[in-house]
Amino acid sequence: MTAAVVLIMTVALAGGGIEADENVEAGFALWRDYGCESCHTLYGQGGNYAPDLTHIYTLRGEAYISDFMVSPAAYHPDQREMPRFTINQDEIDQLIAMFAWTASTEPVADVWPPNPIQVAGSAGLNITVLSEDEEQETLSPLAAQGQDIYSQRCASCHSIVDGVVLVGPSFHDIANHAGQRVEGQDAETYLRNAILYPSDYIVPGFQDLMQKNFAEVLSSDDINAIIAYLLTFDGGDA
Amino acid sequence: MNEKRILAWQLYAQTLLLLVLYSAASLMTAIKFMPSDPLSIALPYMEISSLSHVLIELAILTGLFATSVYFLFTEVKKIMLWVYRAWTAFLVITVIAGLSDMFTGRHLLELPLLLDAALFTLVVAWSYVLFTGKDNAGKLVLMTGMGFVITGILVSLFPANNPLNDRILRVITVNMRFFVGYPLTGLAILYWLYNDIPINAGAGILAAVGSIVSIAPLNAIGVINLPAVILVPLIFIGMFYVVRALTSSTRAWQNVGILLMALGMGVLGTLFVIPSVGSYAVGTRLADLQITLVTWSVMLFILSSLSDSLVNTQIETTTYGNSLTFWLVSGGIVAGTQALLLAGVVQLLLERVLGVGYLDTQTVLVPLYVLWIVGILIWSVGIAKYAYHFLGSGMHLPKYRTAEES
Repeated sequence: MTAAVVLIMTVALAGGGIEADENVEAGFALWRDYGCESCHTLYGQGGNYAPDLTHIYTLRGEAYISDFMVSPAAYHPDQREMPRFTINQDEIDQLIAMFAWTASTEPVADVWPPNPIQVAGSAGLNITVLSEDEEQETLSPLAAQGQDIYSQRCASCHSIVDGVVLVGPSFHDIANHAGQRVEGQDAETYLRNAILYPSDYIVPGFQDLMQKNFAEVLSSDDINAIIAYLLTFDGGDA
Repeated sequence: MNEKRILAWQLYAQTLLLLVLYSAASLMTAIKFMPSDPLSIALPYMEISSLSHVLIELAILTGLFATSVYFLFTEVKKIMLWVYRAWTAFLVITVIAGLSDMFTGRHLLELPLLLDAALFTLVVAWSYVLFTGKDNAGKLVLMTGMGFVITGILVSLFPANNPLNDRILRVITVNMRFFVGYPLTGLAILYWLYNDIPINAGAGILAAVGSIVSIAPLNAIGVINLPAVILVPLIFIGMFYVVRALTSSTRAWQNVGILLMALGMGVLGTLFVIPSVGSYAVGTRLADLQITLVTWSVMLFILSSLSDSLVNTQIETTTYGNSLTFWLVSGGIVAGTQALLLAGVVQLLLERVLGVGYLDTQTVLVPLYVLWIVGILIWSVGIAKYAYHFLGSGMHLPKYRTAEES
């Protein structure tokens, strides 16, 4: 047993087997220097005072992580608040590179944790899981395209489960209530405007945290696809 | 009172002072888990939790040195005095560094490089000094335990360059200290106290169980793959043997320590060593609880050595280890650890199985954290009472001199 321990230790010390590029190493050096491990866990090891970040890159995406590190106090009001570190964009990019690496590096990435660890809200309650075939049957090709974009761009902040708030409002039943938000705008118009001009369409009770450059990074087809997908949320089970 | 007893008394006094500081730091750390914390930004969690982790480990080490000096020597050698002075200076500098926010924030490896190197040097120096003491089976087990501790400290001086390698190293270095090294030194103390325990077999089994428990987190996250069907029976049989061999109906402090060891290494160790279960438990409150249980187990062995057998270290009073102190300390520890156990189970079910968010789960756990704080408050009062009486008894100590200086 002791020999096995020493063997593992030696392999790890030499960095054999598991390698990372310079950006990941720089990001990990920052992780150590800022004492992130004192509160957060990575691979389940650490302070357990704040969420595990092993898969945060997959769960939230780059934009969310970047904005969170600049303005942590803007997120999760009335819950534990992360101190704001004087961190520059290069450092943020290096940390994001490290998070991308941890979320994708074997052997742990596909094994642990058995269920995704959410930061806030709920991923597992009241969700009807559809098989891939069933999903394809229920969505038009345009909405299916929108589903892909939603999962990349929107899912880290907007839940599709009733009452579950991640950062922005839940999209549950959005097809029915989007058309009632602004007089004279139907659901499709409202959603399009809210994506293109988010600061003008802040839902009461929420802050102006949404990414502002969707008009530049998404094509018209992409936006149409997202809207088509969102309009499938008509109050049924998500 | 001879010089050896005075030196032991001084080291025990340091142990109790560190424990009092640890009590205060633990209390402030636990308060951070409440929903409203006025010091959330002014005193970040990382600062106070780092301090509390370092304090408890230094308290254990100091207590081990005290007990070892008492049992392994008949007179003080000059080198012991020098090591003691260097250790005292190290403790002062470390506490000041902790209060000045100079710790690194690496969970359970918080000392900055220079202090870590100093700790390594001093623990090696102490080990050398203790090695020159009287030969007996307890000393051999103590030195083996110190060997694991020293190796753990040494490896922690060389952090790996990427997260996964670092996690592997961290699991080994931290767990080697807390689940193998310190439990073995605790066993040596029990042997010196009671002499009637099968120490060689006990040490072998405890080291085997500790090694399994140490690598369990790597098994749980898929870095290694060891079959639970072999590991679980080993832990069960091992802990059953250890508990049966060590417990007695008359040894109050020691029995609570054994109970905590059985919970930490046996029950939680089993939970973590089954990959399909441990993968849900890694990184929850249960992992913190496991280290807390084993740490306090060893600390209770040290307090046991003070309370049950070393009353003659004192000049006149024996009140510091009396019944009320025992019940405050052990009752508070049991209450606090039970609250953490419940918090860990609820966290595992809500966050890991049902997918409720981390922050929302923490809100649900607040009532259990209140119980945890109550537990810390109770044992803090007990430790303060213990320290007050012990330190008060030293008012009449004669001036200390080594044999060579006399």
